[in-house]
Parts: sequence; structure tokens; C-alpha cells
Amino acid sequence: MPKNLVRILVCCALSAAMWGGCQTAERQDEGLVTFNRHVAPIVFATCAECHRPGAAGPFSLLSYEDVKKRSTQIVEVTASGYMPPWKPDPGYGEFVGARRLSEEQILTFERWVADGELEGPPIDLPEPHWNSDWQLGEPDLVVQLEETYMLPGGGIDVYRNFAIALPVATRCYVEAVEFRTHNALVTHHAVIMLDPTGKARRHDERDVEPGFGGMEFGDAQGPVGHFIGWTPSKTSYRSPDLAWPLDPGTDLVVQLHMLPSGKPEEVQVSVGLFFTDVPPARQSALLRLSSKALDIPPGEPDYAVTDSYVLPVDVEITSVYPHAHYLGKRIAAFATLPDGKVEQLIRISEWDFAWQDEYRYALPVFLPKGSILRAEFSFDNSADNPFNPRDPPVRVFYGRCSYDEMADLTLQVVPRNARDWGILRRDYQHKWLEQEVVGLETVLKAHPDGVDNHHTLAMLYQQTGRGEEALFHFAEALRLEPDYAEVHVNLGIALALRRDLAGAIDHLEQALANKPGFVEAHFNLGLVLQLVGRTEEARRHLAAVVAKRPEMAAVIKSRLARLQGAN
Amino acid sequence: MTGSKAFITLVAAVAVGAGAWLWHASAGPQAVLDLADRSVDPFAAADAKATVLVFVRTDCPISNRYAPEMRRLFDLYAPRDVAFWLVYVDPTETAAEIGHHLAEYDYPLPALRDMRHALVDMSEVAVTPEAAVFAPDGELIYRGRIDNRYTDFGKGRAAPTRRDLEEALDAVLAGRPLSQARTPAVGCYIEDLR
Repeated sequence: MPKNLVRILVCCALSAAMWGGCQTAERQDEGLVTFNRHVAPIVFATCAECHRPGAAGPFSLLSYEDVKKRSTQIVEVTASGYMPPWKPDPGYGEFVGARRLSEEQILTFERWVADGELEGPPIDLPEPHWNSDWQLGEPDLVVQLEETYMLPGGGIDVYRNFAIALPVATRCYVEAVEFRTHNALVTHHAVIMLDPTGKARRHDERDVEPGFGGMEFGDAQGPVGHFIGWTPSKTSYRSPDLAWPLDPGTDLVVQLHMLPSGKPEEVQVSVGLFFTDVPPARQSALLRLSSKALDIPPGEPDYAVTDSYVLPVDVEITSVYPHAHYLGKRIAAFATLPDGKVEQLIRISEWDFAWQDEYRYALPVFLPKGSILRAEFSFDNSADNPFNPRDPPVRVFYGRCSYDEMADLTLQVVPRNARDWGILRRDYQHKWLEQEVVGLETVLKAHPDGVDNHHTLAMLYQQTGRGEEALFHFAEALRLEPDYAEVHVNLGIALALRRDLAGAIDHLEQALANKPGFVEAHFNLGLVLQLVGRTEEARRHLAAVVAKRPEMAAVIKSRLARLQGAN
Repeated sequence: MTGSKAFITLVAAVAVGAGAWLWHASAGPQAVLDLADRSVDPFAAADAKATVLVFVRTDCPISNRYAPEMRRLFDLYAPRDVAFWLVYVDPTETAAEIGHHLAEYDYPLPALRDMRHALVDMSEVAVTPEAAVFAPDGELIYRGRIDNRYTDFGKGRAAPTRRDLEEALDAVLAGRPLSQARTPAVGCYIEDLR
């Protein structure tokens, strides 16, 4: 109430004394802060892009009245750094599209309120401006969700994945992807993946409503070497030198994080693709620094993990995407160069799951071969963490669901020398496999009865040459589900590679007993029987394969020839 | 009882800010209006075991997100003789805008317009959404958040772990004392509307 009184009195005095003539207006310049002259330019340049009708901000900030009605809140959220939303700490990486207010701009809001929230002379008021069209011009292809999704008015945040067919007839090269939402109020962020397998689409079709729920994408992945994400007012960019191939038959999978608004909302989005005819000269790779051994005790306020990787080739880092869930507290990454120099890559001191983003470097960061990349993560699983979804806190493991936790930091890198891409990929593959193994071990610690996780882990151990561990997890999977035909086949293959041919035949036959006509079982059993000289039975099994899949005849012929040679 | 409380608040307002009071003198002594511009006393229901005022505005995203939760509480407690009122606090919002808002968010609660913030002052609320629970004798039993989902602007849990308004109503109906009679609420500041 006293603030109100002051405002009215000051207003009356000024309207009489100040706006009358030029001389007094100049005097006012040095003194009182007005909306039209001082506040509006900041609001229009840094807030109005989202805070306007139809955009992501939940209310407009386009006029004196709009801003005055929120003045206390604006002072509070600009001082705290919550708005404009930009999580990376200053001085740790220079990024495209950084949204930061200077100390002076933040003070301007405070002084405006202290001075009585004056409007100022109309001549001072700038025009608000924003971009409401495609940032990169008209896309070559625009696709939408195949059906509009109705977001319920209440309940918790919704994560949903939508498969969208891409009507391309031949291989295209995509140099940019731009995302637009038709309901910005409830579309919080999006991640875009590709699925050439059709698995996500089948998942989508099984769910009665459009899309399917959850944070997992089915088997969809980003284009090789790319992460495509969207957050409100993200700056779009073209990268023709890193264009990625898009083949016919690929589905786009759009994962939306949606916030219920209080009433049911229609959700529709557009994804614009920009093509180039020229195959890219260079190729990027994604390197993930990660800890998948997370096992965070309840109540622990500062659980820390790190990961590092030594670059086997010279690279340029083009972007960084940090990721954790609700317990994430702090994420930082830096590189130590061979000469000892430290290059800061990013630091987010107050992690907020809701404002995760991919940050693109204003200039690519060059790191020579031998540089050590290091990421540091910390987590707060205490009751004092306002984001902690559990009260009282519980033990939390690594996992992909939102109540599990993750510690990932993905870097997009481009080898300086195009020929180095293969070297980098092979070197990094070892690290990736090790991470996956640790991740599955952790998930099994939390959920020991996950049959598919035992199965996948067995396959990964098989791939990394750790046969004993592989056999253990195959056995665990079969203990939990004795009739699992796919596990019998893969165990059969593992045994055959260990020269336990009798064991292999036994499991391959069990696979066929569990799943008659199973092509993979017929194929492998045929080859193993051929190897032990039971050629008549072998021929029968291989014929069963060709009967179902005629195109396999050539493969069978070449495998038999190889067995012949081996013998 | 409640009438006298409101009266005391208004006298204080005159004493502190005579200028502000005079600006709005034409709006009526209390200026608590329904959507047909009739004066309303939200405490008039004789048989109410408690009266809940929930302060909102049409353009506050946090209060809008609570519409389903308010509906749930209304469905649960209105049959148990709890009187509910949605109190719109922005005097520039018209009755037509509020009527549209009620329909859009499917609010079953009756709405009031607190043109002079007599109810705001009486309830000691600072933001929207914020709730006040009054006993039949006019005592302010609970004032604060609906639940603990939001802890700051943009900060909150996926789902609340404590439903304060519901706990307050359960306590009142059971004749139990409240464990927390005042809680901090997160939302849009009402003071900016004065």
C-alpha cells in the first residue's frame, strides 16, 4: 500500500512538471528511470520474443501495462537469473544465442520500480520486434504430427514421442532442422530423432492416443554425429559442411516435454527440413562423457562423479549437450591440452532439468590430439532439493526413466582431418561399450529381474570378449524366462564361438521348440550341424530358411563355402 | 464478525494511504462483486463448516495450472459443507473475461471480484494462487499454498509431496489443530495490481 501511494503521487507530480518541455525532459534523463526510455528496450530485446501472444511465455510483455502488472516478479526473476532462461555460467564457453542480462540491465528494472514505475514520454517508446516465421526461410520439407495430441489439463509433466513419416524418395542431405510449435504455452522442449527400423511407429500405433509415452525413444537415434533439440527461442543454424544423410523409409521421432496448463490443450508441431544437394565434406561425431554407475544414497546432498576421455585425433568441438534429471546439481566440462593449458567448455552451477539445452559454440573450440576431456557432475538427493520428486528421498540408480538419474555430457566434435573420423570412431567405440556395460550392470542392480537387460548385457560382454560374464547373463535371462527363443539363439551362437558345438545345438533346438519356424534359429542350427557333419539335418534347416526368406540363399551359399574352406 | 474485520482493514487503508483510497472511492465500500456486479458476502452461507477463498487471476500461469487441483478439492469438500470461492484480484479484468476464463478452465467454483482487495487484505495473501480458509466464526485458520509443488518461479516437483490446503480442510472438518497454519505460496504478486 505505501508503494502504491508513492507511485501515484510521483506520477501526478511528474506528469505536470516533466513531460511539458524539452529542457525538463533532459533533466529527467539523468534522474528517474522510465518504462518507455529505459525498460522497454530491454524487455523488447530480451523478453518479447517469448512473451507475446502465441509464443512460449505464459503472458505477454509488450506494453507498459503488461510489464507494470508483473514488476515485482520481473525484478525478482531477473535478479535471480531465472529469466531470461540461460543456464551456462558466464566465462565458461561462448555460445550462440546466449540470453543474458547485464548487471546494469538488471539494475534498471530495480530502479524503475524504486522510482515509481513511470511510463515516460511516448516518443521514447521503441517498437517491439520479433521473428515469428521460419528463421532460416521456407524449409524444403515441412512435416507435422500425424494427429493432433490432446494434452490433459492437469497432472504431471508429459513426455511423449511421435513417429512422423518423412516423404523422401531418394537420399537427401539435411543441413538444418527447424522446429516450431503451434501451442508454445505447453510445449516446453523437444528432442528430434530418426528411426529407420519402424519400431517407434509400431510403438506409436500400439498406443491408442497419438504418440507413445515416456522418455525413451524406442530405438530411434539422432543422425550420426548430431543431436537435434529445441527449446523456446532457440537460434536455428545451417551447417552445410556437416549435412547428414536422410534415406527413404526413415521416420522422424519427435519427443515433446509438455506442461499441462490447467485446461486441455491441442498440441501440434511443425518440423522444417532444409536440404542441400552436396554431400558434406566433413563428418561430425558425438562423444559422450558419462557415468552410468550412479547409485545415489537417499539424503546425500552432494554426490559427485566424473568421466574423462583422451582425444586420439585433433578435433573442433562445435556443441555441447549436458544432461541429468531432477537430482542434477552441477555440471562442468573442460579440456586439458597437452601443453597444460585448460580450456573451459561449459559450467552450469544450478542445473535445472526443465531448461536443458544443446549449446553451440560461437566459434568451434580446437583441441589437439592428446587433450584430456573431463566432465564433472554432482547430484543432490536430499529433501532440500526442491526438484527431488521423492519425499522422503530414496536410493536412486542410473536409468533412463525420469525418476532414475543420468550423468551425460555429449560433445559434437569434427575431426580436423576428415580421414581421422574412422580412428576417432573406433577409439571411442571402446569407451562407449564400456559405458553401456556399466549402465546395464547398474540397472540390473536396481532391477535384478530385467530379462532383456540380462540379454543385452550378455551380448555386450560377448562383443567385448568377456565370455564368462556373457554366459552368466545369458543363464540369468534363461533362468528368469526359460522359453525365451532369442536368448537361446544368441547363447547358441556364443557357445558355437567357444567351440562348444553340442551346447550350441542344444540351445538352438530349444529356440526352435519355443518358437517354431524361427528363421535365425534354423539358419544358425543349419550351419552348426554342417560343422559337426550332420549334413542331412543341416540341409533341412537351411532349406527352411530359404523357404521363408529366399534372399538368404546367397548368404547361406557363401557361409557354407567358408565352412568348407575352414575345414 | 467477518464484516467487522473487513471494516477494520478499510479504516487502516484510509489512514495509511488517503490518496489511494480516494482514487477508488466510487467502487463501493467493500467492492466484492459477483460477475453481475452485485455486492456479495462470501461468508454469508450459514451452514458452512469452513469457507475457502482461492485467489487467482486470468493471466497467471501458476494459478491456471492449479485449475484441475481446485476442481478436485471442490468435488471432494463442497459436499462436506465447505464453501469455496474463486477470488479474482485484478480489478482490470472484466466480468466477461472472468466468465470466459471460468468456462475455459472448467471451474465449478463460484467467482468473486475483489475490486478493492478487501478480501486480499483480510486473508493476508500476497500472490495468486493462494488460499485462505476461514472458520465459521471468521477466524483465518489457514493461509498459503495449495500444495508444495512449486518452490520458486520455475522450480518445483513433478508432483506435490504435501497437499497443504487439503490437510487444512481435513483438520478443520475433524476439529483437529493444523500442523502448519501459514505456508509460503509461489505465484504472481498481487501487489503489482494495486
